[in-house]
Amino acid sequence: MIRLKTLFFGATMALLSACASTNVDPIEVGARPDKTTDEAGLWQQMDEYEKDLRASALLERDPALNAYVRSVVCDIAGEEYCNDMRIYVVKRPYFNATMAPNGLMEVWTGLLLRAENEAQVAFVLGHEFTHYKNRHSLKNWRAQRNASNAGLLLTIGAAAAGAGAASDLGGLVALSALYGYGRDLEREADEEGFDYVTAAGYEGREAAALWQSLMDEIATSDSRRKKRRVARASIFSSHPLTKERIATLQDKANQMPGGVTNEARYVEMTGRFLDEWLDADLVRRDYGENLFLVNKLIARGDRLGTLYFRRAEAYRQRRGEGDDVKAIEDYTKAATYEDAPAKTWRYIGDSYRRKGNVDGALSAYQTYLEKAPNSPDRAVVQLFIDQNS
Amino acid sequence: MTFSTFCRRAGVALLGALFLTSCASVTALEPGPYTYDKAMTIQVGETWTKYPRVNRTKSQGLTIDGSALNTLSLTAKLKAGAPLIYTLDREKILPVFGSDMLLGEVAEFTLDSLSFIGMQNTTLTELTPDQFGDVEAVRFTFTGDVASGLSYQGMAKAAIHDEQLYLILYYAPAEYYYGLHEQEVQTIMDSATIL
Repeated sequence: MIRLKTLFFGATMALLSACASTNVDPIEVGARPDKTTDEAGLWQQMDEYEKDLRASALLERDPALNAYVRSVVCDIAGEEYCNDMRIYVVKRPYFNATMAPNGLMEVWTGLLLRAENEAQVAFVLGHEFTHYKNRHSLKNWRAQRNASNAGLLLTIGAAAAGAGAASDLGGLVALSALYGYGRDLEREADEEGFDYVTAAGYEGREAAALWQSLMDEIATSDSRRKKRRVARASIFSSHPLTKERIATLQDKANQMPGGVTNEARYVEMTGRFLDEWLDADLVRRDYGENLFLVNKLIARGDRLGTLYFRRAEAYRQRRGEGDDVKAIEDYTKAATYEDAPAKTWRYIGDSYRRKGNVDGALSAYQTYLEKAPNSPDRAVVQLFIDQNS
Repeated sequence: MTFSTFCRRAGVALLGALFLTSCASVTALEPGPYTYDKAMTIQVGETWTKYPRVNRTKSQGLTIDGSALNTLSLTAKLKAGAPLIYTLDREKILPVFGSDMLLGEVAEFTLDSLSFIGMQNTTLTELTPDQFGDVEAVRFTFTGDVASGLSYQGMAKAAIHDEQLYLILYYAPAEYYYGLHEQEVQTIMDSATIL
């Protein structure tokens, strides 16, 4: 009984002493935190990060693409908040966007590759804007610090009472508080982000469609570990369950009038980057996901020379059974379109060469050098032509 | 001696032992002939520092001024299905060598491996026929940037022999350092033979 009282006392003291306010108001336009606050520390760290980012090779510096992405953000956030935000398109082949407390937003090219239209990108950016406006970084920082302090003190309190099992409980409480808080913030960002996007006139159904497409893509992944991680999402996951997110967003969308997707404008602004982005994605060597993306884009019916070339590349590099045949079929199909890259003929030549079809290889290589006379591999291709003509 | 003093000294001793152990495995490679992995010979003209070989790959790292300023990597007998690099992130899938690759594809595989470990904008600038001793080979040059924005230049020589990859890869910051040892690396590549 004495032990139980001691444990209760220790736990109560721990929880009381660990509490620091996580109730913070949304950030005001033009605001910058007082230098003496913990929030200023977070800003300072991100200011340093941003300084490095500006010089980074990771930045996509195309002016038209950057202006376009910024215009989407400003449509959602409004001009006043937009003036406080710096938006950077970052060359990373993963689905992501981030928003820091100081107004730094990163939009990864992997997101732009996967989104089917402007409404889908707008939803993710609206989600990130909510993190910023509602100062989620500060809330999360304080929640983590509180959880860590509470866990530590509860462990000490429990140890003083000689309660080993309760001591373990201290760590568990701290952990689930930390991650549970993240789930709430993510849910809030989903819901408020959705409101910003639909208020700007975008089609709400695209939010759920984006998450569903992402789930479908992961289901095709070559990484069993990745698929298991998504399937295992639990109370310790930092995001709400994806199925729950989809259902919530679908419910909200069903209560809204329809809006615009701006698909044509999105395709126009991002289409010329598809070859580069799909190439970068293929470096991940997740052929299942890469093929899922290419097939989705082929179904759109635009830039088919580039896309059949890209699908052939995935088959060529995968080297699975029958992939050599699929690759040559797609290279050949790509070659019938105006936008097929010159390298299409180089790889047709390579494929024939590997199969011992010297005439086929010679013809393709000659076309390649006509289309790309200054290609860096010219000497090697020319040597084959000279030796076999 | 108090307990805390003991702990502090024991910690320092342990760190010292670890430091000495790691120092022992970094050795100098003096000018002269060098045989790597009983599979490849090169002729070295300057003194290089030889890093411990990474057992997960078939590669040996060498440098003169530090790995960020110049890196020469020797790879021998890399088998089909094996990567040139490694990662501790088991969710990621590495680029792997294929024994049916043409030599142009080996250059792509090398650049993809560099991209995988963080080099940005890797671009092949020249690919030319070459010899690795008696074996048909290619030599290629490339450029790339690291995340901080620093531009790199590189060159490599590659051959496939008995369905295994032999590769000498060099890269350094484009400004000053690449040129500083370029001639030395050219000489090393010219001298390379497969055993």
